[in-house]
Amino acid sequence: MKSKREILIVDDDVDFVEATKIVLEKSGYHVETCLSAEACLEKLKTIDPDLIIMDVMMETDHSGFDLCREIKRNLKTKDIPVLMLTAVEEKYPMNFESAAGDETWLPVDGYIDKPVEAGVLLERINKLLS
Amino acid sequence: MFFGDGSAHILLLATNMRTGDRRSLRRHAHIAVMDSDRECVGLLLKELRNLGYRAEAVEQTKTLLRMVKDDLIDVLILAVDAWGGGRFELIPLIKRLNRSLPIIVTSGDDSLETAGKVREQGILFYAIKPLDMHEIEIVLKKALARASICQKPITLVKQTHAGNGLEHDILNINEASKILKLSRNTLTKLAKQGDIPACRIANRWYFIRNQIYEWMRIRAAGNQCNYSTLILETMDEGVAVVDRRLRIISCNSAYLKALDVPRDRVIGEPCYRVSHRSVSPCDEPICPVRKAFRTQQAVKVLHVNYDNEGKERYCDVVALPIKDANGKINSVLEIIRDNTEIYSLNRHLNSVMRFFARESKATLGTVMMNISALADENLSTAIERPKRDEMLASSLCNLKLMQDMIRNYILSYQAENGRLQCNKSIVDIVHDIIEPVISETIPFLRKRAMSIDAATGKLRPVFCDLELLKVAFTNMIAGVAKYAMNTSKIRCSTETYEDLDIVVSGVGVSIPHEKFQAISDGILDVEHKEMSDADMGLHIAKRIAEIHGGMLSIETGYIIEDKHVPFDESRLHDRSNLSGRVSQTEFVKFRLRIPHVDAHWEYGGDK
Repeated sequence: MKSKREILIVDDDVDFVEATKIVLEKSGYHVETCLSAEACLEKLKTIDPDLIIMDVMMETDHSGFDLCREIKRNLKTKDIPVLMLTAVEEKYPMNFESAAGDETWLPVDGYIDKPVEAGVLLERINKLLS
Repeated sequence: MFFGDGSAHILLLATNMRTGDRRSLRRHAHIAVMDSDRECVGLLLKELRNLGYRAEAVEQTKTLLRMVKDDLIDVLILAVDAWGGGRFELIPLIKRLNRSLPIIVTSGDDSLETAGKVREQGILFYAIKPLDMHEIEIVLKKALARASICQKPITLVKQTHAGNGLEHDILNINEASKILKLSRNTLTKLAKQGDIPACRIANRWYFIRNQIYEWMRIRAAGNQCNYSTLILETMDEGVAVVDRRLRIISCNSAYLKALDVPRDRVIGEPCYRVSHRSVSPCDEPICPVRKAFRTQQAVKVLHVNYDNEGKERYCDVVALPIKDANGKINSVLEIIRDNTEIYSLNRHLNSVMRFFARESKATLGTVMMNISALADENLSTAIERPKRDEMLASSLCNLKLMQDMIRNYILSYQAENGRLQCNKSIVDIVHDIIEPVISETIPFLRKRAMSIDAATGKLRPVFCDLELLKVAFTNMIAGVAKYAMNTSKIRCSTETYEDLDIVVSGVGVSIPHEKFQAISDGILDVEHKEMSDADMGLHIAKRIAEIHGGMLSIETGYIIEDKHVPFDESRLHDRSNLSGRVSQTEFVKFRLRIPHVDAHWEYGGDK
């Protein structure tokens, strides 16, 4: 059994990944990182995180959307909570937060618009993991 | 048929006709048409004859003047732009020979200036080609009615008409002056000129009540007709009058300009064909004209029209029903406000704002995460000092990226609008550009465990814009860093053997095909799905190279046997081994080349 809760961060913004990693580690989580959706799927073959934090616009503008559907389709990973953390709303002027949870097109467990304060993110993570 | 009741009376009273009265005996009014456009003349003569007039084409000025002098014409239709213009000068001459001859001037020139000039000559009506025959018919009727009233010589005989006190209808100059609100002098002058129906008996002018009322009505109607045309022309917006069959019966120059069509393709054409290039009318809910006819109310809608090149024009269309004298609506005034520029600007502004919001939010994501963690007492104390410094440095780097992005956009905007200034001076490339830019980017690169090295060949001073070249070089490094993986090594090489060459390359990284194409094409389109701040930076680097007379080239491909081979070439060389090649090391290379210019020469010898 894992001694610490494990969080996987998927984002192509290296700086953001680094910053978030520090915040989460210092808050008592074990953090794994991936810089692309493809790398995430590979990593999920070897680890079993308690939560996935993912961006949307990575290799393509919709990588994150495809990735969350793929995760929720996979029997092994479908129960892992997914928190979408992105600025995609500025690209597509839609209300993603209200759509979050829709099994067909946005099967995520939480949605946060970037930028977000460390405290707000931690609060949301705690809620999803409790 | 053209006279009112009063005019009919006059005919009855005309008991002593002179030889000049032969006009009133004519069965058909005689209309002379003078125009060099034979086709137009042919059509006009045909239409006039169909209307029952005796119409005749006149080609020679001499013939025309003789006919005017001999009083053989009732109305003259004269094209002022006939035979290359010059007919304009004929009008005063004609007026001298026969001041009361009604002249309808036609012209293909729809400018207000010409209309004003012609009107000053005292013509009856100014018609713009192609002629609206309905309009011409009305004017002709009025002209002939007026001519009859004005020119029928009347011998006033004090007779008593059965049941009608004729004395009451005969007015002296004082009474007429009161009705017409004109001074006696003016009235006398008009009467002498034959411009108002009157009769002189024993040095006194007499008028007939109904005649002067009719004269007032005709004059008012004539003015109204002319004013309506002129009013349309004074409007900046495109305006057209559309009848119940949705055919355009009149329009102004702004309308033609907005739709980019000549007048002859508009008048008489269905409005949907002219404005939408469509073969069928729009459905009523979206057609303001049809809706205005049905509801008898003003209607406003947004329409997408198409110009001659098929480009979209966003227009606010206002349809105003026009009531005739009986209160019936037979036509609608359609006002087209072309707001394409405003709509485009709004759309562009929205996309720019979305672009900035997206890019800034992504960048601010890191900044806010770092700063909020550092500001949080619990978190901050848990983070070691070196890490805290790193977080602060990272935030500053990201803020600099934002600053660069805004600067790049401003430069792009200036370049797109031709306002990018290029202030050249003699620049030491290494000392003024390479070294300071590299030292500025090192913190940012170090954050991503990237390194940068610079190799310089033989260098000499270069005549260029220092600030712009610094921007271009910074953007090239940021461009490589954008597509490079962490720990990549960025190489810069500079040489001035002939032209100035600045090459920035990264190993282990390539640009996706779409982005490569967009950047190569130099398209600055923030609406482009894949456009990022780094791409915009490369775009402006390209524009900076171009305003120096140079270029920015981009290469991406594999490193095969220590050589940079573009993707396409590597595939051509060995397709069978393509799968193996994909795993090989990729590269990106940006080369900024500015042709060598002798500073002395460019300064015009005054260095």
